[in-house]
Amino acid sequence: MTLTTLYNTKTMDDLTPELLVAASKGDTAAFEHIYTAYSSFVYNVAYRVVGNREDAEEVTQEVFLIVHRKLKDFMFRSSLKTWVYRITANMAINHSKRQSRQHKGRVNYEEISEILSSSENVREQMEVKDQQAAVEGMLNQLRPEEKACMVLRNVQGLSYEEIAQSLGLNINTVRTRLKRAREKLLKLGQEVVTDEV
Amino acid sequence: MRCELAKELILTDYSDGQLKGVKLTQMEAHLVKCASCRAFAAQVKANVIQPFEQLAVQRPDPFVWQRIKNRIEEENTTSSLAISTTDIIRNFFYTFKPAIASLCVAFILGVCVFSFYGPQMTLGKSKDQKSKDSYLAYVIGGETQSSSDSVSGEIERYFL
Repeated sequence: MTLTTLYNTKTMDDLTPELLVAASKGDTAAFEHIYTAYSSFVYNVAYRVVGNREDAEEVTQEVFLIVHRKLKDFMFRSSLKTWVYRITANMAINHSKRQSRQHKGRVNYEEISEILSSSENVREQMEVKDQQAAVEGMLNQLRPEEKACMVLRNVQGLSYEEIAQSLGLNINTVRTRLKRAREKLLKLGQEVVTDEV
Repeated sequence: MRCELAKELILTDYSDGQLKGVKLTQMEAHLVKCASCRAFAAQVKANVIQPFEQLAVQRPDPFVWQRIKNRIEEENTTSSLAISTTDIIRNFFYTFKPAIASLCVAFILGVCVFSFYGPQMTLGKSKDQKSKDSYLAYVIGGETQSSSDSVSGEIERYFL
């Protein structure tokens, strides 16, 4: 295989075993291709779970350093994608837990109320004001494990099976977490609307 | 299908497109009949599914890769240093293997010999030395060879 073919990768599925072997032997250029293919996923999940850029960058850095250190032991028993998903989800959840222990009691309820302050329906409010900020504020009300399930499903579009593999959970646990998270979000939306009325 | 089960499925499999086959048909049939579940499905979709799907994809700044690259290079340097030290030690033992093995064998033999013969040699020497000393004292001073001998001599003399 030529170097051009070896390094001509843009997405996760383009990564060849030869490229992974090269990266595991210390080829930084090969590892940069792995970074290019996965960085968006890793950073996006980290950002949505931890809730801010600085921590998301820290998590991203740690995830890729772990991937780099352990790549030589990667035996191709599972797909690289599942492996990276798993490291990312665990790192982001752990970071978020540490963070919430440090900032216990900080609630974004007021921020959400402010964003959703003047119209009848939560959806309309989101469109009128800042939808992104509102959704982020709502996500921050969930437990890190629930947040991870929501992000992997609704933001990254993973199937239940993929989420279960990424988080090392039973598929029914994934269902339960999604159900609880959505119930909380619905309740939160209703409370905000009721308070404003 | 009961509304309770339908609402549970709306919060999970149905809204996520994971419901298939008979269950999906039953669910759709229930939604046609039940206005409350239909409204709930619309509410869930509008408030907790679509807003999250429409979130912008976040990308890391380019300096994140630079930081990772620097850390990788640091780690590679550290590990190569560790490898070279290990190699030096390994090469040393490989080159002087016969000499080290001979020294080890000699040392083990030495320890065995000393532990077997050492105490006997020391004990024998001291016994010999004691008898020589008492003999010399006897010859030079005209004393009895030992104190026990002198006691027995006095007793014997008393009775005799």
